[in-house]
Amino acid sequence: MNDACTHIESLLPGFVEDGLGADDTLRVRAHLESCEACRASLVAFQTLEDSLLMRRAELPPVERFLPAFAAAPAPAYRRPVLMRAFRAVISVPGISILLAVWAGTLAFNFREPIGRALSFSTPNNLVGGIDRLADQMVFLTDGNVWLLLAALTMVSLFVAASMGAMTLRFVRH
Amino acid sequence: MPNLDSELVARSLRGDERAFRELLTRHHGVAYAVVRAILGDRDDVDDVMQVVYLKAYQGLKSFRGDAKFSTWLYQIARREAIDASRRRRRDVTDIEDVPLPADPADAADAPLRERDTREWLDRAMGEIEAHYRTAIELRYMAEKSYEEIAAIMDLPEGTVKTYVHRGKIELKRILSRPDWRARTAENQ
Repeated sequence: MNDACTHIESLLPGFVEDGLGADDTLRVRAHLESCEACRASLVAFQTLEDSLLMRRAELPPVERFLPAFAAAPAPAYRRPVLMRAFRAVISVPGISILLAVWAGTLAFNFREPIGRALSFSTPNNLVGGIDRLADQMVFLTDGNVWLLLAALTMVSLFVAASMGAMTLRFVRH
Repeated sequence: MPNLDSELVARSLRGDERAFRELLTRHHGVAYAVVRAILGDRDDVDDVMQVVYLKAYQGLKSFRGDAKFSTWLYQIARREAIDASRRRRRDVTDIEDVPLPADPADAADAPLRERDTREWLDRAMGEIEAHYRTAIELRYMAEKSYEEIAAIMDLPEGTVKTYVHRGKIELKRILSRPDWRARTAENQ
């Protein structure tokens, strides 16, 4: 093998991949026209290329190597019980603060009618006081039953959602 | 798609195991190609791969996103494979000592011939330099472009091309020995 053949052989891997520039491609083609040894080399490189292209089929599926936690179909990760309890409990102060702010704002805005209602709620006539409080609520909603129901529903939903969220936090995490 | 990788890493760190699985699936070829390049077709490749993925999971918090995830995984796989190689010294077999596979002309079915070809190629791959082998495995087993391999191996693209081409010249030299030549001639 002379120097020209050695140089051409160094280009043949790129030639087989169709990755040579135009000049080198022409140079290789011209040399191959007249060199039987390099044509045989080209066949060997093409055979090698075909064998290498089959290596992809040897890649085993990723599942074979995954740790058990990742191979399973999305097993839910559960924090330790103590951590779950802590995360659930820590949400209680937040919800309590929200409820307190909400109740305080309501009480401040409606302090006069609430005060009048409470003035009747002595131990002797507690039931009457509650009745009057109910009357005042009806008064506040201007006698609109639907508005009253909507307000009560909102409060109930808020409390239920808060309790539900706390429960879910504990169960899921 | 590095952005998708970043998103998958973030989701994995939040405990989304599906995201972690998808992340590994996307870069499985890289990890396996590197481990195979260093260890060859050995029995402990599976064990090393499992360790690689476990360490990737455990070390995900330390992945800062400066480099691509594929580069980070490549480094873990390379380190683990080299450690395994050191633990159990590689049983280097000279290509001349390898018994000839069954004569392809006598083989009754094509799959058998394909298996022989794979065995011969595996043996020859074991003979070439490790960095040539790694570049070739990333190119063909992981089906990465030269640009991607350059990023993964942290080398210039031209160097990666040189590795692959020189590796192929070495492989061709090994596989052109008389016994191999006679076999390929009968295959054609």
